[in-house]
Amino acid sequence: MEDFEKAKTLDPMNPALVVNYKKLRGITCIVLCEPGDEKIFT
Amino acid sequence: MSNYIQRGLVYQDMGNHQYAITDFKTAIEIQPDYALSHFHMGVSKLKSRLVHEAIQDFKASKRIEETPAVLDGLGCCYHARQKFEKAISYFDQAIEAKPYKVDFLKNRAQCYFDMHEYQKAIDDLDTALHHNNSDPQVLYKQGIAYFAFKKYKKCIKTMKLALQSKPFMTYEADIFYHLGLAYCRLQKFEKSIFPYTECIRKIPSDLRYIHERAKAYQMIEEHKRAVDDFDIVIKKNPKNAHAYFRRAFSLKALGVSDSRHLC
Repeated sequence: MEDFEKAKTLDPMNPALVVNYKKLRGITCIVLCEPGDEKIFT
Repeated sequence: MSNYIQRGLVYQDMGNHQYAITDFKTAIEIQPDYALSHFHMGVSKLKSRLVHEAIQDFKASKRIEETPAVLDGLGCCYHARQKFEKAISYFDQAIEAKPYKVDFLKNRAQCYFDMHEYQKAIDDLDTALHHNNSDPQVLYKQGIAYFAFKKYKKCIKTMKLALQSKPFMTYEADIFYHLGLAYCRLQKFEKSIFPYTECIRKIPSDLRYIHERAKAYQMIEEHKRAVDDFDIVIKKNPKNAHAYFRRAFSLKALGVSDSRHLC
């Protein structure tokens, strides 16, 4: 949970980083972008 | 005059364009109507990113003698200024005069690539490959064009050929990186691990490579390895929200609630 919260803090305007913890069971990952299309965080 | 040109070309080859420009300038002062001095000056100015001045030099050369190389040089200048249509028109003229000059084809292909005209870029590089089918740089550029065009299987095939052709170190890591990316785009995450590992081995400081490998490890549920890679990305770029977000899933899969508990 700590990492999810940290991600949200670092990129607060990104709705993809907002997760409902109650619905995370069984979800192994959420695809944020295509391979090679990573956003640059500076 | 020729001594100045010769020395200027040595400096140009070494990448010391400031000294090269001084020599070409002297050569022009001695004999202003010698086209090659202006041409070489244009090349060094372009490589020094003095694009506007380079255009004047190439045009001066063209006024004395129009050669395919000068037309290509003008194409490169307008490409650098993102005047793509004008650049293509000069490249067309250069290639019409010398259809199998690989450098001209590579330059026009790069221009088409930047215009998102991927098929035209691929076609130009194909023509270049007819001349030398194992030119690693042409194969690499074509692989990149296939990737941008979302032709991932062709990208993989071309990048593998580029690797067999002994590519320069300057772009070898990028070949492996794009191989990994192409496998991932085809959902073949397991196959991406080796190329990602190779590009990391060649350039360990490039966090893009480590992050993409972490993502691939996560997709094949090698969560411990994924976390190790995400840790490196986060340590070196603590503002990377995506890396935190993804690490959270791998930690969850490992049953670890806090990253600090892993160690």
